[in-house]
Amino acid sequence: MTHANENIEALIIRSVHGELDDEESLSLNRELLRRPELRDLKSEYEALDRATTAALAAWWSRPVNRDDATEMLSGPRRSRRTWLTVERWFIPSAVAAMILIAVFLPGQRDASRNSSPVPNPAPTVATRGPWEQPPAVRVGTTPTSVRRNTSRDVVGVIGKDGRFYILEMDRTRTLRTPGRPTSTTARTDGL
Amino acid sequence: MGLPAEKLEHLEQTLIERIRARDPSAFTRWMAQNERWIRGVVYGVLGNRDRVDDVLQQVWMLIWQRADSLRDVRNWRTWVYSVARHAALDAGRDTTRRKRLISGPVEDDLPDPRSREKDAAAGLTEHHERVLRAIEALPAIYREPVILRHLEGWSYRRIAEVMGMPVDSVETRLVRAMRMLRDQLAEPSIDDHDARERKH
Repeated sequence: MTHANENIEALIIRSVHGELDDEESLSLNRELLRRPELRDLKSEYEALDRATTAALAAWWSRPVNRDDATEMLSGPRRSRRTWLTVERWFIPSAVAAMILIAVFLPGQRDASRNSSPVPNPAPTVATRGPWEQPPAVRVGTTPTSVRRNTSRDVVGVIGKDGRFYILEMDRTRTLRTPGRPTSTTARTDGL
Repeated sequence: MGLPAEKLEHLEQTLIERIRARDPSAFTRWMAQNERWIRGVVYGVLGNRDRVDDVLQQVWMLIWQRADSLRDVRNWRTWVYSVARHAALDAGRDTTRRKRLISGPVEDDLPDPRSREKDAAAGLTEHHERVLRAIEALPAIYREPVILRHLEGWSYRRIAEVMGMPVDSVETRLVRAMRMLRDQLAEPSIDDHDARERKH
């Protein structure tokens, strides 16, 4: 195809697209009257234009699920629903877990966690004057042993805003267990 | 009778302002009004009908997340075009990268059966299929304006505004694209060839 023909073909395509100004339209019409093969070419491009538009319109009109995109944007509603879904199973599970911790954990904690023996106080000896009868005193270890256990407690609380908060707290418990009496009664003067 | 173009544009810009203020109902309405051409842009860049829906979901998400970065509301179409185009290009690059890593056809190369079912349900005829395949075979720079022109009926000037290029360039691309489409559709398709073979 010659350069001149290419230009006319471009005019035909732009004419089919409705993009010619008045001067260009006149020029094209003159050529179309003069050359029947250009009229055929124009008919061909008009048919192609219709076919392209129809094919794209058919593609566009196929069913598309537009709910997904709309759903994606409804942020607050969605997050609330997700929260409720979590809440439904999470709160009973948390309560059950707390009960289990309360029932079973203290025994294990005694044996394993942060046991720190507290030194027993030294035997006490009362002071007295030389003229006084020496009192009878108890000499030996104290009858109880004291242990302090530090453990972590987990507590669930529903706040005023309706949300479920988990609080973790370090709690120290002091345990006193009775010991065997090891003391003897004696007088400090050896009597 | 529809609203005048200026009034329509003003309404669109108001919607965009509301989207920037995080109004989901405005976004839903805006999506319904603009889905067609944005889908066309994604299809134009990808040249593949099967992945358009997936990429379009990403485009909606990106527009919603990045609406704040739009500086001049009057240029919202160019901005949306840029977001959609880049999302589609990223999706294309991702496919290419996976092709390098995996020998053999990747998932995206295989026709999506759901997409084909939708095409069938929409009543896409063989002729429609043939034209769409010819459009998909065009180089991307020609495919995009063809789709915007024929899907939306946009003028060369509007296409140029959205694509951010001179009107002359759009004109040149469309003229070449139409020539290529004519040449492709003038050739007998494989189906036609098979039908002729069976007759003989």
